[in-house]
Amino acid sequence: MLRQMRHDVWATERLVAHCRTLSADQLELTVPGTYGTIRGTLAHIVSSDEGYLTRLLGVLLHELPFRLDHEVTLDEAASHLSHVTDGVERLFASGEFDPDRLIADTPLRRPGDPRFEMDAWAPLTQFVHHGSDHRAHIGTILGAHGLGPPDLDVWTYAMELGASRKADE
Amino acid sequence: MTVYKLLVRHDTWATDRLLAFCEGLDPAQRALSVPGTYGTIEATLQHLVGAKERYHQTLATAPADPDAISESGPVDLTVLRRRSLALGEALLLVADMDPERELERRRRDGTILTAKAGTILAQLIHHGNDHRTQVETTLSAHGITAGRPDLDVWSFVAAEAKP
Repeated sequence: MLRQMRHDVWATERLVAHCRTLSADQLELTVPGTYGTIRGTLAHIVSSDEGYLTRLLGVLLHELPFRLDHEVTLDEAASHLSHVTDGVERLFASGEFDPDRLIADTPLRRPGDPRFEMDAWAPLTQFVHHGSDHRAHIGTILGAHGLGPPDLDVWTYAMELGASRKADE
Repeated sequence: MTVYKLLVRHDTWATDRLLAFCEGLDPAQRALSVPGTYGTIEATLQHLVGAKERYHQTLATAPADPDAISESGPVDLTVLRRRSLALGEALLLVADMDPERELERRRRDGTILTAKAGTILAQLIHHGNDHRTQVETTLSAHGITAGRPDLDVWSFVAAEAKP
């Protein structure tokens, strides 16, 4: 599972690196049927990643939570990726992850917000689903505008790590 | 239940809900696409299940199944849906295998790569999320939103909680 989440963070980092080559106007591109602009979608991915990890860890990843209550630049979103990486590693640092552990609340809940209880597997699985989902939106936007999306699949990640290789016939 | 079994169950559930919805579309709607996605709705769903065949075949070190979905043949969403559910059950049997086990997978171009079981499982989950999103984008872009199912994990949790 740690491998799956490390891939997720790698894919977002790779996509951010690709988007750093775009102009300010290109970062505002979108297509109907997706979440929104490239910049806004990346900010949503990273902010949500922090939200899931905060719920899973039970502590804030850093002071002043990363909320989308203002215009978030690509640089600002990217600056939070280290918190996501750190959160993922901390989640698995003690060994096995108990998917059935009940999480009663999140430190990110604001006064007046409803409280949700959930088994730990739910935000963990949603973390993976959510990242792939929104990166696919950005891939569609890039492709639709001829901006060549990078390969973000697990094969590319594994090849980079040497975890998948061409076999001798 | 382990997290990987839950990931496989969510993948199977989400794919089935999407296939069920797309079964209700007319042929012209199933042929819709959006630039930047894999292709038509039908072709994407066929690819999604066809790839799952290959992942399962590799993980189970099984010979090609005669009922396997071919990505080059005609598309029948009812057949795809039935096969996707069967693959979902079969994948549960291999979801907890040693993630470090080295396996060989044959790519569509015939080349053979080695990969760890955990890598193949991770790709299976990523691939399903990726292509379901493309189908959802196509549906939304063409205004097909009424009755379209939510496929996220929160909806899966709610569905699981129903008696």
